[in-house]
Amino acid sequence: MVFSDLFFIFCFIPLFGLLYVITGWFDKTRIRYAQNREKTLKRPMLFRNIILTIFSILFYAWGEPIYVFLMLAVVLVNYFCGLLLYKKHNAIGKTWLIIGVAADLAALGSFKYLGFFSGIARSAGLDIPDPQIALPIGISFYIFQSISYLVDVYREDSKPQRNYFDLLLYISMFPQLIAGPIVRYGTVAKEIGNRHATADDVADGVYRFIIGLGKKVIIANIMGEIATSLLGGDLNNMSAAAAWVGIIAFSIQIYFDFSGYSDMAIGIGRCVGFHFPENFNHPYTTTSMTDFWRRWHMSLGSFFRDYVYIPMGGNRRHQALNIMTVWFLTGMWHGASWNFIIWGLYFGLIIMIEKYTLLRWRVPKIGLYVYSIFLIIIGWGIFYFDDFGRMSQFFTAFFGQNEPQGLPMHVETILIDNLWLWAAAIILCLPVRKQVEKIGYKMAVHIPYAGSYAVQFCHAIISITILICSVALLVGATNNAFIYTRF
Amino acid sequence: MENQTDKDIPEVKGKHGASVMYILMVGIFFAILTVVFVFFHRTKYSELEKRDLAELPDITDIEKIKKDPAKFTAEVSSWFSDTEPYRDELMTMSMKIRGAMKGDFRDDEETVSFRPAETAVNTSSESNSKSKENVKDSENYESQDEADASTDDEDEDDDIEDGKAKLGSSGTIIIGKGENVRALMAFGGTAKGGGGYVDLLNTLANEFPNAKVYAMVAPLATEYYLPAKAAKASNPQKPFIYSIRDRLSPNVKFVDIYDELLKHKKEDIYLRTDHHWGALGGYYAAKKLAETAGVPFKGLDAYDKHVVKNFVGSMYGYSKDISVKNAPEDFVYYTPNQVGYDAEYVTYTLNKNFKIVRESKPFKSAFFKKFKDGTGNAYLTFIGTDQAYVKVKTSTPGNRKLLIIKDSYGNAVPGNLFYSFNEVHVIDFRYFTHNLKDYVAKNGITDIAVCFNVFNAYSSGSASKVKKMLTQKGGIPAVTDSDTKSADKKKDSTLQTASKAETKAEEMPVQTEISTQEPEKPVVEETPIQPEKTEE
Repeated sequence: MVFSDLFFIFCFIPLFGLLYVITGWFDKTRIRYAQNREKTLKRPMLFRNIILTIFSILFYAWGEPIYVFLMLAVVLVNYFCGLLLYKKHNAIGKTWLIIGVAADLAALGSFKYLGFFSGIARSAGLDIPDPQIALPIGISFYIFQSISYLVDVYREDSKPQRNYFDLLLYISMFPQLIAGPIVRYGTVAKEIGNRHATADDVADGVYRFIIGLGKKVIIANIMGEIATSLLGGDLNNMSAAAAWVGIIAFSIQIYFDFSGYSDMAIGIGRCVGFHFPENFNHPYTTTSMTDFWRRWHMSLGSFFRDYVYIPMGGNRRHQALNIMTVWFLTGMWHGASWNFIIWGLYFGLIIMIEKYTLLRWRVPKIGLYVYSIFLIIIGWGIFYFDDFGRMSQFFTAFFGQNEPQGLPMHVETILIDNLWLWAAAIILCLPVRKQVEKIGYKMAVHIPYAGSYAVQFCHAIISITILICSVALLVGATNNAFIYTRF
Repeated sequence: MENQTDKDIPEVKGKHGASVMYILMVGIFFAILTVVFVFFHRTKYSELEKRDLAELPDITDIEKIKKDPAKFTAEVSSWFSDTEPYRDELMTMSMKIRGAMKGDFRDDEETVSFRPAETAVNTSSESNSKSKENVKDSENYESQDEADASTDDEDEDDDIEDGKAKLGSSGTIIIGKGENVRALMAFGGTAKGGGGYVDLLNTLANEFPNAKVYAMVAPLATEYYLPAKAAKASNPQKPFIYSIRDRLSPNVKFVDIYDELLKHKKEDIYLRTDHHWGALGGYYAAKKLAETAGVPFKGLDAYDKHVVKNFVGSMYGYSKDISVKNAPEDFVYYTPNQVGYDAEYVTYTLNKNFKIVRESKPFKSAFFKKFKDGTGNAYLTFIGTDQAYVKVKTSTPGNRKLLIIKDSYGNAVPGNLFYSFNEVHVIDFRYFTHNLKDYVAKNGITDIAVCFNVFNAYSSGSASKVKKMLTQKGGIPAVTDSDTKSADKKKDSTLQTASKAETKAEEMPVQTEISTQEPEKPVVEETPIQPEKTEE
């Protein structure tokens, strides 16, 4: 199921919300009852967790009715491995860790990369059939969460989960199941057992969700349409303007698509009392490529930092190798395709070079900014085309190697017809909203009561407006899937 | 919100209450939307998109669900989002939102003249890396028609509405502004296409040596109204139309509609908001046919003029552009007032897959249907449906009996020929189950015209359907008497359902994406349109 699907918004969410509130009453009654007898409940969230788990499984099964069993199996393996390796500082613990991680990677490898590798083997002349496996949605995300669970337990950063269903809840929790953020077990371990969502949490969560919905439906979907119309057709002899506008549209699309998803995930999480990590911090305001990756898909970057880069030696031992490994893996994580690997290595290389050059020199900020944005956009060019023929046609046009054609009408139409959207999207890439929220916050602090009410009133108006626009735009929308759900 | 750090939070007074207010406001609004979306009557047919909406898959068919559960869930989701209550209103709103994103400050900037049809060929062939053969083709036609075309065209540059032109969705081009907005369809074909149509006409001429056979190819409005700056968005139709003429055997008479319309392009020969031409376009096409056939033809003073006001046609749904909706036009049509005529219909009932399942018995019904102001289907004034064949007996003396085999463009033609022929028969190229030879013989047809728009003339699929009529035996079960009664009773509703199905079965205006990168790339035959796809 997709967050920005009307079925999700008007069937799944209301039903889930209703049942979650009802089970909340049950839980509270149980708690009161226990308190009266001066006992503390072991599982104060029991009914709510059951509902959350059931709906998470339903959510996943709706899109992947078969592969839901794969997920259940992965959780089972990790459950046992986690219990077996905890507090065993010897070869046994390590063995179980290796077995668990290997099992996770095997699942990822066979369902995501088998086709890719068999293709490589075929092109090397081996007679291997194409396994024809469809990629289970979200597998890259939940496998990484499983790995983080095992490693955190092994490092004793967290205790192992003794209840299979609670671990299942952690892995399958529908807000973050199919496209992150990659939530570490330690972040939510406590909240699985006991959490509390105040009215403030719910208000913030709902607002956050609706902001994310707007990002996705109003900006990303339309920008995606534009990108497809310019980059999806025949690229032979395309104009430079079309190449530039197309790839900038894609850059905007992928940011609003993915960060919109993260907002929605974080928002739903907040409503039920979870605090997921932030995944974006205005990546297009970056001043270096190194910095970009501290702002883009932060949960993936920190995963690789903590579970690959630092264990490999970080900046103390063979840093170059470590950097390139991390970036090779980052590229690879995005998909079983050469262009993603090249894209990852491209970033690795630039990050390494800039470490010894730009970042040590005194370069005016604006120069760094232009440099970063330009290279990021080229990066998206590599990212967009998994066909090298098309990629080279694109870059030929992008670098102005085709006959100059000025501003062709279809590009002009696209720019002018969506002028305010372009303007809004570019402005929203800057931390404008953050500044506005700050002002609102100050107002709320300095003007007791009225300030808070004014801020929330504005939020409500914004929310309702976005909701109306999104619902209208979703009617008749054909291509509405999130980009990152295919990774 | 991103990267919010909440350390040392000072107490914010009233925060809790404000949050509760927010939750109530948004919650109540959301609850209302949910009730509407879940419990209100679901839309089954979209007037705007002219299509039946998705249906809920059979939830009781467990076997099928087991076989492919992912397909089932996907179908439920798409059913839910396809059939939402007030779909058309919401879509209109969505177009308004899209419209509001527009930066509209070009209005007074430049005025671009509409390119005269003739120069179209030149402009596009010069400005582009068109294949050599095509250039040769177009030059040929250019020179051949220079003589008769240039005279009409020298003063054409001044019929400017406004130089604005932009691309809409599904290969549409929107030009003009305000109440003069006109939506055009892009044509992707080249002079090489239309082999099937030529072959069909030549075959008909062979098969019916005693009848006169006419080729009528109707251009799209694009040919006459596309501004020069948008020239790349659509291929010129003239080379294509005249290449058909040149390939026809001498026994086939070519009716030069193209030229006739060119003379009248300042009049309302095309509808601005519909993908069809207007009644007047059909009138001039009929005039040219009458001339070619050597039969009498009356001026418009022998007709009553009728108007359906506030007409917004199919191009609104296709282009998804709100400016089209905001520019309603008068749908004008003419009914002959000095001749008697009597139309006899046989209609077809189609199933969901556009297969003919039943044929009605002949029944009498009006040839021109009167539509209310504001009806989006007003083009169905003529005949009322495509899923029928009609035989019109006129009081015109003589022995000339015309058969028009047509697509929906052809619907606007026969009503202007009642002064010219003793009988006018109209067959739709998609819906005719009888043997054409038998039909021609039985009815003593003396003149046969095949009137297609350029899309259908281009597609060999459309031509082969007609060709099939020469050999087919007719496979529709005859209706029983009891059926006839209900069929008669239903005939109005048949017409109505037929009218609903009309556009979807046939011409989605453009079947090729406008080739934005390389507009003049030679197009393989068949690409400009595959109207049958939706039917099969």
